[in-house]
Amino acid sequence: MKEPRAPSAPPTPRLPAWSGLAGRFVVGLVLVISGSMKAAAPPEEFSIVIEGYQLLRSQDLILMLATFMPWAEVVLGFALIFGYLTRAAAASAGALLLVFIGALLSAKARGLYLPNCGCFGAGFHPTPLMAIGIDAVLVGFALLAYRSGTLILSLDNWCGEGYTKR
Amino acid sequence: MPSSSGPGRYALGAAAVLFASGALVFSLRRTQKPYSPDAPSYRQKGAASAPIVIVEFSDFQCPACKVAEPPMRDLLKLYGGDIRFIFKHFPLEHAHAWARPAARASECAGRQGKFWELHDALYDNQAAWSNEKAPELINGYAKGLGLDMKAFEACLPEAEVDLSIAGDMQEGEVRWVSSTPTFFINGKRFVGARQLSTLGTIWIDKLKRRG
Repeated sequence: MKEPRAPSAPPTPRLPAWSGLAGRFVVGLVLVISGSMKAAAPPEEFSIVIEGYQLLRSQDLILMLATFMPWAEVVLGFALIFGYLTRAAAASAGALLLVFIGALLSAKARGLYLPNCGCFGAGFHPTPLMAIGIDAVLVGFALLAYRSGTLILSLDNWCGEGYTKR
Repeated sequence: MPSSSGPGRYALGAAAVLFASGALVFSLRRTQKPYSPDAPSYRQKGAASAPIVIVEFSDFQCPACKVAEPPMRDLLKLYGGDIRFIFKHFPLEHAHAWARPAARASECAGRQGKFWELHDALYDNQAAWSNEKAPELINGYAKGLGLDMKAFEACLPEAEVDLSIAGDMQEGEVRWVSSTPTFFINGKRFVGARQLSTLGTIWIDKLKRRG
């Protein structure tokens, strides 16, 4: 007699809705604060920071990044807080945070002296090591937002309702 | 109604996200006070309410800082009433061995109300004292300014003086100052004499026009 087939994989436990909401709010708030502090200052200030990491040579590219990256952080942050295109926003935020971690690790590996991470503009000055820790934790929260961030209090739900009604 | 449909709602959502982002950043830009760090009053010039705040991170032994002195003095002459000027110590000791003793001396002169006088004397005679004769020569400038030399010499080794300089250095590092002279004019950075006298002047004019 044939043995009954074991289920191939246990079903992934669903994350509670509040964890996604927490993930959205934590990552969103940090991005809004860090981005707005940099975006409110002259872009040359953040370009000095980018230059300090010695990863890019083109001054034009550095200034362009210094101008637009803080805005991208603010927009991604608000998208997460509002729950708008949540999964895309969470994935982009996670990717951005991984880029930051990569840049910090690479600076550390090359023995570059960075007075601070430069991630919060003139507001708050975590050391590069602290910033790696903070970013790693935020990647975890971004993952929560990605997995279950649309479940409650999200614009995505409201936008989705529009589709169902039709 | 467009807002009840999916695409309409997504468009409204995008508008909300963009509006919140723009509103926050532009309101921060408008309400942000110009960068004006703490400094003892003797290291500041101009009214506290002046609309333009210039912060200089400088090293008394740095030749580039000496070059930046005339344009800085010109700016103060030209826009005097509109400017508050704050001097911050940033002695680059790896290159300038006598920068810190000079900074200490200026702090001690400041306590006797003669910071700017010694500041000017140090820059005017930079080439003369940038060597082993520095302590002797700097003391001579201090004496020439009529300072109480007993108090001046007692002040030089004080830990508080070093703390004040270290505080400025830390402040500069936090703001990613890596060379001197670095100027912040209402928060915007200008490095060196050329940037100060060209772009810096344009920036000040713009700030003045903005009111």
